[in-house]
Order: sequence, then C-alpha cells, then structure tokens
Amino acid sequence: MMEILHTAIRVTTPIALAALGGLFTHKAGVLNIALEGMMLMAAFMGVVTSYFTGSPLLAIMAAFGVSLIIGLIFSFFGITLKGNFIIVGLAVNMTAYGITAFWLQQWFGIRGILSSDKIIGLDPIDVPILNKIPIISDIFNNHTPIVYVSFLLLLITYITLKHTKIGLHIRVVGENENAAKAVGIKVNKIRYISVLLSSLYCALAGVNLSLESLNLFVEKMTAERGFIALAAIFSGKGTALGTYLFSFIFGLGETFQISLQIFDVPGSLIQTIPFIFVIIILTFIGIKNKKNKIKRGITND
Amino acid sequence: MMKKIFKFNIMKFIIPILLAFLVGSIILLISNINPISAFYNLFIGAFGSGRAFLSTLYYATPLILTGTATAIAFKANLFYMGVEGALYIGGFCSSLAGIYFHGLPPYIHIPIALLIGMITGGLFAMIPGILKGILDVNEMVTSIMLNYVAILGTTYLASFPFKAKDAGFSATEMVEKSAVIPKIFDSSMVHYGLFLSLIFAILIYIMFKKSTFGYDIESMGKNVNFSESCGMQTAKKTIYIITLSGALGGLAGAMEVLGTYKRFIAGFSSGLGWDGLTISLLSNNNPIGVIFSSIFFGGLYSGGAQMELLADVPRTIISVIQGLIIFFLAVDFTVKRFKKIKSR
Repeated sequence: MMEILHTAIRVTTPIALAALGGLFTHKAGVLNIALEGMMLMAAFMGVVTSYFTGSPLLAIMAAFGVSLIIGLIFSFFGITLKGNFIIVGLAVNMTAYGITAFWLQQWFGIRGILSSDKIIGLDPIDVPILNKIPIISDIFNNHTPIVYVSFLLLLITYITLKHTKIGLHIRVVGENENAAKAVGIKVNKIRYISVLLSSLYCALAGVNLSLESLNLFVEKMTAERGFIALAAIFSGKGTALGTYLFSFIFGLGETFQISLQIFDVPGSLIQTIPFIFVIIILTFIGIKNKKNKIKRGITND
Repeated sequence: MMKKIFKFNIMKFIIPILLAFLVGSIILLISNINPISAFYNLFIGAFGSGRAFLSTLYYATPLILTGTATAIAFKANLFYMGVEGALYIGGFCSSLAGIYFHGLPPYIHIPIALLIGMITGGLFAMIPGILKGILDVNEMVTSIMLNYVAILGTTYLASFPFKAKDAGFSATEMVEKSAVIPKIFDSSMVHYGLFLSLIFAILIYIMFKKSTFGYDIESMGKNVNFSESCGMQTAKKTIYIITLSGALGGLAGAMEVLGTYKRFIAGFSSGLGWDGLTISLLSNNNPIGVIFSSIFFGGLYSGGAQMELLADVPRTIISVIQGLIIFFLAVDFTVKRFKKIKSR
C-alpha cells in the first residue's frame, strides 16, 4: 500500500507539473496543448546535455532553455500573429516529435531509444527529518529532487494565482479581455508570461521523465501526458489544488498499470488503464456538470 | 469549379509549404546536411518518374480518407482527433471479416469487410461524440486518450487472441484472397482503394455544398450558440459528425489492411490519422483540396524513402516539415496580412 502511494507520487509528478504550468495559460485564456511538445523537447535536451557534459545541473538549464524557446515560438504564433491556439499547439507537438526523432538519428545514429552510461541523472534523496517519521517516510521520502520541487510549485502556483498582482492580471485577462484592456493591463504581455511560466514547469516535467530514475530518452516518451495534464486542469475546475488532485488521480491510474505488470497480464492491455481512467473521470465530471447546467449547447473552450 | 477552389486556397496552400521547407532547410544546414540535395532527391522520389508518382498515389490513398475525416469534424469546429484510433479499430475488425468469412466472391467479401471497418470505426468515434454532444466533455482530450486505447487494445488482440501461428510479429492471419483489394498495376503497390478514397472525398464535398447536413456543419463551425438558438439540435449533430469522421477513419484502416498488408499488423499506421489532420488544415477543410494535399503528402513519403537512401538524410525530417507546415497554417498568411505586418 505504502509502496503504491510512493509510486503514485512519482508518476503524478510530470503530469502535475505540466498541469500546474498549464494552469497559468488556462487562467489567461490560452488553451496550451503545446505542453506535450515542451515536455518532450525538455526531456530530450536534458538527456543530450547530460550525455555530453555529464552534468545534471547543465541538463536542467538546457531543458529550461529549450522549453522557453518553444514557449516563445508558441506565443509568437498564437498571441502575436493570432493563430489558432489549438493548431499552433499541434504544430509544436508534431515538430517536437519529428525533431527529436530526427536529431536522435542524425546525432547518435539510432532510432527509438537513447540509453547510455554517460547520461547522468538525478538520484533520489533521503530527506533528514522526514526519514524518521513512520508511514509518511515510506510515502514521501526517497523521491527524486523534482518531486519535492513539484510540491513547492503547487504552493507557489496557488499563492501566485490567488494572492499576487500578476495572478490577478492573469485571471482578469482570461475572464474578460476587454475589461483587462480597459484597466490598462497589457493583455499580450500577460499571456506571454503565462505561456513562459508553463514552459518552465514543463521543462521540469520533461527532466523528471527522462533524467530521474530512468536516465534515457525514448521517442514520444511523454505519451500524451500533456493532454492528461489538460484533462486534470479541466477536471480540477482550474484551481491549483483541484488540478493537483486530479493529476494524482490520473497518476493512480498509471500506478495501477505499473503494479499490474508484475502479474502475467499482457502489457499492451494494461497500458490502456490510465487512458481509460481519464475518460471515465471526465465522464463523471461531465455528468456532474450537466446536472448543474440547463444549457444544452456545445462550446469549444 | 477548379478555378474557384484554387483561387480561394492557393496562397494558403503554397506559402506555408514554402516557409516550412525554408525553415526545414535551416534545420538541415544546422545538422550538416545539404538541403538542396536532400530536397532534390525528395522531389525526384515523389514526382520524378511514373513509378515514383504511382508510389506517391499509393501513399496518398489512405490520407485522402483520413484528411476528409478530419475535415468533417474541423469544419464543424469540433476538434476530434481520434481518426488514428478509429483507423486501428476499423482496420482490425475488417481484418477479422477478411479472415473468418469464407466462400464469398470478392465483390461481396470486400464491400462487407470495408463496411465492417467503417461501422466499427464509427461506433468507436461515437464515444467521444456522445461525451461531447450530451455531456460537453472536451472531445480533443477524450479522443486522444481513446487513440491510445485503440492502438494498445488492437496490439493486444493481434499479439494474443488473434495472433497468426506462423507470424514472428504481432499480426493476425492473412485475410482470404477474396477479401484482398486488387492492385491497379502489377508494378506498383497502388490499389483500387484509391478510387474509393476519391469517391468518398467527392461525396463529402457534395454533402458540404448541397445537403442540409452540410449546411448545418458549416453553421455549427461558424457559431455553435447561434445554431443552437436557431433550433438546430447541435448535440445530436455533434454525435453524427464525429461518428461520420470515425467511420471514414475506420474505412481508411480497412483499406490499408485489405489492400496493402492483407492482414492486421499491430501498430501499422505510423500516424496516418495525424497526417490527415495536417492535410485537412492544409486544404482549409475542403475535401477536394484534401485530395491535392494528400498527393503532396504522399509525395513526401514516397520521396522521403528515396532521400534517406540516396542522400542519407533521415526521413524523420519529413515529420519536422509537417509540423512546420502546421505552424504556418495556423496563421493566416494572406497577402493583406503581410502588408499589415510590414506597415506596423
């Protein structure tokens, strides 16, 4: 049981980080499906940098760098040139899939997986006081650094959105663009900031995937976690705590998949569990929302 | 008719492609590859000879269907992205019809197997359709999740319960000879499914232009709330549209299975559904435009093989170019727009 919760926290981390980052854009009225591509590029750059330099710190910096560049490109096409966010996001994801596969082949002459002893990752840490407390220690101790960073970021995201000026501006921009303009908020600037914030979160999510515990890069290794993160934001009704909670619920789905693998059940069937999990939960939330709503139409928001 | 379509689309079609190749060249240059020789080989491999062009048409065949499938949903402003999943479900189910129905003549066996592919693909698409139409659950997220369920689920089915005894990889038995869609020429892979794809694209084009359902799709795409208040049952229409989209995806999968592989192979698609999405965007959701865009994309695949062979350029650069095309498609690159940016 403790082991399951320990695993759940580990697999929740990349989803939760992408979701918390995506929350800023969600609040600013930008549908950011580029989360997936940002994570993937960060995961790739992290592994490549670690391969060539052997330094996890430089790897994280590289991941931040590449993710920020993607955030800027996404913002430029979506916000400045006013392209459709969904389509720009798709473009980011497809280019990220393509370019990581291309560079993998061009730089390393391999297809599929990059795995090497030269890739230095981030090891789990034994937290001093935490390791003395029973039960809690089993669940929360011995995680990799970014897992702890994600807890911190949950708090930071909550406070930023609720209690700071920038958070207020982000919410105003998302809720009523014209009102925001009327009170002198620079709408585009706020949207750029929100996208770049999500880039930073996604960079950590990517590094968490590729350099913590696994130390390898696999083509499309993000496996639609960016979209699961979006589902977590929708399900969590755009609150930081709700988003984290649903990320955790989706993480549990993935944990079940991982723990079922010891049994003699075919892998491909078990791997569907997290995805079915997301659909079932979205359905329940849909039913719940439906009860509170008389409106019958459909909208794309 | 042709003139009108081209007048409408030509800039939207050409500029993104040129820009994508331009940026693609830069990426190749950074990677120490000569873009001119790479793209020259790409072009020769796609359109340089009759053989190359037939190969291009072969690759274009399923893309016409997946492109049209996506166009139906996108035109109604529904971001249904589950064509890839529907393709797997349809392909798998039609392979079963191809394997287990015996003693039928080809002119009955092939249509039945194709129809089963369409129906199952459509039923599969109904899940996100109903969730969207009735419960207003975001169709993009659910359809993408279901893609994974379809790909992994059929991989399981082709690896265990329905695995061929003699196959060293995850695949079903070969379908009966009577279920195989014949080739048009002996020398090329292109099969009669090409004509079926073209017919469906044209039918959907006519549906868009002439039928009330087509009108409904267009008006939902423009303003769904307005359509709803005009008394259109948008919830029901949403389900129809997404189901139809999935049915075409299922048909594409069935044609790949019956025409190309002659059995269901796990993971056979390599993203035909996703390419359909780019193609639909490239053609502004117009099924006639989809035909041309699909031939262009078919050329990328056909030429990509040659480029990898002769110029030693990884063909994954094609995926990069596709992604870049979408970038430039997202932004309206009409001439007017350029002037506006300049004058700022």
